[in-house]
Formats: sequence, C-alpha cells, structure tokens
Amino acid sequence: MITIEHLKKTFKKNKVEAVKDVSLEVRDGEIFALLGPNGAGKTTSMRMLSTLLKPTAGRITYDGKDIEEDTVAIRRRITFLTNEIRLDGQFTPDELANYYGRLYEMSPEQISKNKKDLFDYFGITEFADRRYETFSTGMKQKTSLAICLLHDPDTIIFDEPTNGLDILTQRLIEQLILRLKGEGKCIILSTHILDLVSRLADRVGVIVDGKSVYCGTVADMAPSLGVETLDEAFVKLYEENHEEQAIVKKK
Amino acid sequence: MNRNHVWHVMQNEWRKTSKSKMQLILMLLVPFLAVAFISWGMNYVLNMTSHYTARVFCQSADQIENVKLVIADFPEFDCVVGDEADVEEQVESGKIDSGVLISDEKISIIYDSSLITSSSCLKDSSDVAEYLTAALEGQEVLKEMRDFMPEKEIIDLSTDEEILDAFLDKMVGVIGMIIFLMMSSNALALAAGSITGEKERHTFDTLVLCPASLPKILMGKNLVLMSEIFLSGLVGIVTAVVSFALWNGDSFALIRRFAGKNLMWVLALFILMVTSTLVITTVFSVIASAFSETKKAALFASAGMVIISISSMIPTFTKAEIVDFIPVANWSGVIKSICKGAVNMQALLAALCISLILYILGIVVSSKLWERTVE
Repeated sequence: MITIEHLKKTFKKNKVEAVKDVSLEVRDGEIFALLGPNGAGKTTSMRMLSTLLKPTAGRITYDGKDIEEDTVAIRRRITFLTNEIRLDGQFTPDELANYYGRLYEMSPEQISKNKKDLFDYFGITEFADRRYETFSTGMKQKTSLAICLLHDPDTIIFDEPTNGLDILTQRLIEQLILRLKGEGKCIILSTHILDLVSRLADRVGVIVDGKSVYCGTVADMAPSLGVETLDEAFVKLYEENHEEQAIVKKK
Repeated sequence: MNRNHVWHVMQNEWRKTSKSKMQLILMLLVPFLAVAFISWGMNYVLNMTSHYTARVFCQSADQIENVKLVIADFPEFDCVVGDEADVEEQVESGKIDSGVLISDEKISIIYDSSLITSSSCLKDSSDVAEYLTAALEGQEVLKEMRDFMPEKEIIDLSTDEEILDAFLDKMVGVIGMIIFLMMSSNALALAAGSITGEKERHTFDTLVLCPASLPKILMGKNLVLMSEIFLSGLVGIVTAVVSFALWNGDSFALIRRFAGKNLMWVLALFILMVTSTLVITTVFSVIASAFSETKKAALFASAGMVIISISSMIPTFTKAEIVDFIPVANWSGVIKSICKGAVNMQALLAALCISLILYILGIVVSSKLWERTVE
C-alpha cells in the first residue's frame, strides 16, 4: 500500500509551489487514477511518488517504508512512464533491454526471459535489432514501456501514457494496464481522459491547485457529490476548490 | 559501492561512443590531424627562420679546396671566390646573413655591413683552416658573433642542451599546449553530450529510476569521459613524437639522448596525462552537470576552457618551483623536463594527488548539481 501524507513541493529555481497539500492512499492490486486540470500538480506528485523529485514537506510510504529512507529499494519495486520519457536513440531495443536489465541487477536468464515476453507482447521482436531513433512515436512508446517493465515492478506509475498516441497504441496500453492489474500489480495512472478512468480505475484521487480534494472509489465519486456523471463530479470539484473560482463564489 | 553499476554504465557509454562517428572523429582524427599539421607547419617555419646563411669568401681560388674540406661538416656555409666588396654587397642585399672573408693574412667575419672581428695575421692556408675550424666549432670568434646577433640561430655554436632548450621552447611547449587544449575541447563536447545531453534527450529519468545511485552513474560516465580524453591526448602525443622524428630528426635524436636513458619518462608522461585528464574531466563534468541544455553547458564550458588555459599559462608569470606541483599549470614544464630527462617525480606525484582530490570532490558536486537541475 502507498500512502501520501500532506505532500508539498516548492521548486527552488522559480519558487513555484506546485504541490501544496496532497494526501492520498493507493491500495495493492488496484488501478488508481489521478485526475486534475492542467497545472494542478499531478505530474509533480507522480514524479515525487516515483522518487524522481524530493518532496519539500510531507511523506510518502510504500508498505510503511518511507521513500526517503531506502530510495534504492523502492526503485527496484516501481517504474515510471510518461510520454516524454525517451531512450538512447543509437541503441536497439535489444541492447537497451540488456543495459537496463543489468542496471536493475537482473540475471542474464531473467533479462532474456522478460525481454522475450515483453517484446512479443508489444510486437517489437522483429524490430529488436533496429535503432530506437528510427522508430515511429508509437513504437518508441512501446519500447519505452517494455524497458520500463523489464524488471517486473509491482507498482507502475503512468503519467498520461496515451498522450499523442494513435488509437491502436492507446488500446494496447489499456490492455496492458488490465493485464498488469490481473497480475496483481498496483497501477497509478494520471490522465485527463475521464472515459479511461471510468473504464479502468478502481479508485480515483482529484487534485486541484496543488491540493487533493477527493480520494475514493470511482463508483462513489459522482453520487457523493450529488451529480450523475464523472464529468460533472470533476467539474463540481474543480469549481468548489479552484482558488479563483472559490473567491468569485464567495463574493 | 556496487562496482557493477559503474561498470555497466561504462560499457554502455563506450558502446555509445563507438556508434557515434562524430565522437570518434573528434577523439581520434582531430587530434591527429591538428597535431600533425601544426608540427609540420611549425617545423617548416622554424627551419625557414632559423636557417643561418653564411658564405665563406676566399680571395684566391687556391684556398677553396682547403676551405671546403674544413666546412664540409657545416652545411650552413658554402664557399666561393670573392673579396671584401663582394661580402659587403651580399650581406647588405640580404642574400646572406654573414660572410667570412679569408685572405692570406686574416679571416674577417662580416655581418650587417659591420666587421665584427678579424683574426690576427695568418701565415698560410693550414693556419687558415685551423682558425676557421676553431671558429666554426664555436670558439672565441664565433661566440662574439653570436653575442652580436643573438636573435639569429647559430646552431653550430650552441651546446646540445642549449639546442634542445631552444627546440623545446619553440616546438614542444606549443605542441604540448595544443594537445592539452585539444583534450579540453574534446572534454567540452563529450561532457556536454554525455551528461547534459541525458536531460535534453529525456533519457535521464529512466537512468535515475534504476537502483543505481547518481554518483555511481556519474562515475561510470566520468571514467569513460576520462578514457576518451586520455585517448585523444595520447593520439596527440604519439602524433607529435612521430612528427618530430620525421621532420626534426636532429632535435628528436637529442631528446632521445637526454630522455631515453631510462624508461622513467614513460611513467612521468603517463602520470602527467592522468593528472591533466582528471582535472579536465572534473571541470567539464561539473559544468555539464549544472545545466539541462547542451547549448548553455557549452557556453559555460567555454568559460572553463578559458580558466584552464589561464591556469596552464601560470609558468609564464612565475618561475617559482611551486608551479611544478600545480596540476595543469605544470603541463608545459613537465613535458619539457620529460624531453630533457629531468622530471621532478615528487612534484608530479603531488600534482596527481591534488587532481585526484579535485576529481572526487567533482563527482560529489556534479551529482548534486545533476540531480538539482532535474527540478
């Protein structure tokens, strides 16, 4: 189980307070969707969750272990994927898998077994000897997914994984998420696509202006706010909690 | 520290280099071409400017055969029949630097229309030959001549050590500095590509997410960077040695005579290269780590080049012994002392220790900076 308590992040460079107070709970084996408008602090929260950023305040724990105490151990268990992540273009998927597998301290047998499974699943086996830089956007994303999942992590953090991808690759990623859930993995998913959330997610967290304003099941979200659809629930949460909107309402 | 992580990063970086034609050209071909061309050019200019032209004028044709035997070992001199007017005319018109006029009674040396010195009366041709030999081998008369025109190279008058000093000042100092600057400019490009480029290409996150700490990743990258810089320096040194041997055989033979007594010079050269490589790697990897854009890193790395260049010019401002202990500043001095077979090993080892400390500090600072720029 992952718990996030009063997470805060202020960037030193530009003094921007990207995350002000986020508290969430993600359970084992579930698909947890993180929703929020642009600039709400989703990506920053996801980056802190994946150990790429250090929180300014607050605490993240994986099964009770503080992320700051044993970052390396946590990194062995998780993976993080965004549509921005790229791999070294001059290498082939095969070389990349061998390199990252070794960095994850996997045995050669483990590497070749996991590599075969993932490459077959994503349909990149026949391109395994081609340079990554020659691939299309979709193929690059598939390769990145395969590499990120190579070490068989039990928690997968996806930050808007389907952005900019064609419908076929989007469907493949959706199927992958369900497959991973079926394997008992925990999936944290940040997205703008509410339809995707209603189809895949078990529970949902909503962030507005750097603050978590909802954390509960997808099924309960709309009824608990007195609306009918997920869209309406999201808009209501936004209007009630967005700082400028709230001020206008008060006036 | 899990050395495997460092090793895996190193293997990957080397593979990356071997796949990049640009990096290979920068690392191997550029130092080779630059050093070979500059060595050839400098040698050409050196020969042009230092070739001393003198002519021996014999007033009578009978003297010529004897004189030719005497000057056979001095290719700078040739021998013709002529009188004082001929000597003055040729010196004034710039055809020759000086003229040696031999008459039955005396030898006169004329340079720039001035009679520098003349011998006392000479009795016969054997007396002339003896005097001329003594003069050309650097005895009193020609020593006076050298004092009179110190800007001219009169190779025959110098001791071997003086000849070597002149050569080292003119050639080795400059070529050594060029090799050194070539190593720095290589470091600039390679560090920007390997360290800053990770962020620009968005490959940094995948790397950092691995259970390998940033200092380990950075150390792996730095060790490969070091080996690449070292290799480019080595290509430069080997090219310079071959160039000297090809185009400046005499001076090269002298270097071999002075430096080649034992193989300590190999060790000294290795230590010097390692010391310089450590400092260069440290400076450029710290700069590269501080930025997330290659352009910015390259801009600031140019400032690093200036700092390194200024540091390497310290010996121009001070001749204090302490310079031998300062990495980078000791570069030209140590190269010269290696060529002369008189290296201060104690100072060289101290410089190596200083650069090692700098390198370790650099790794710590770089990894902090590298991590910080991700935000």
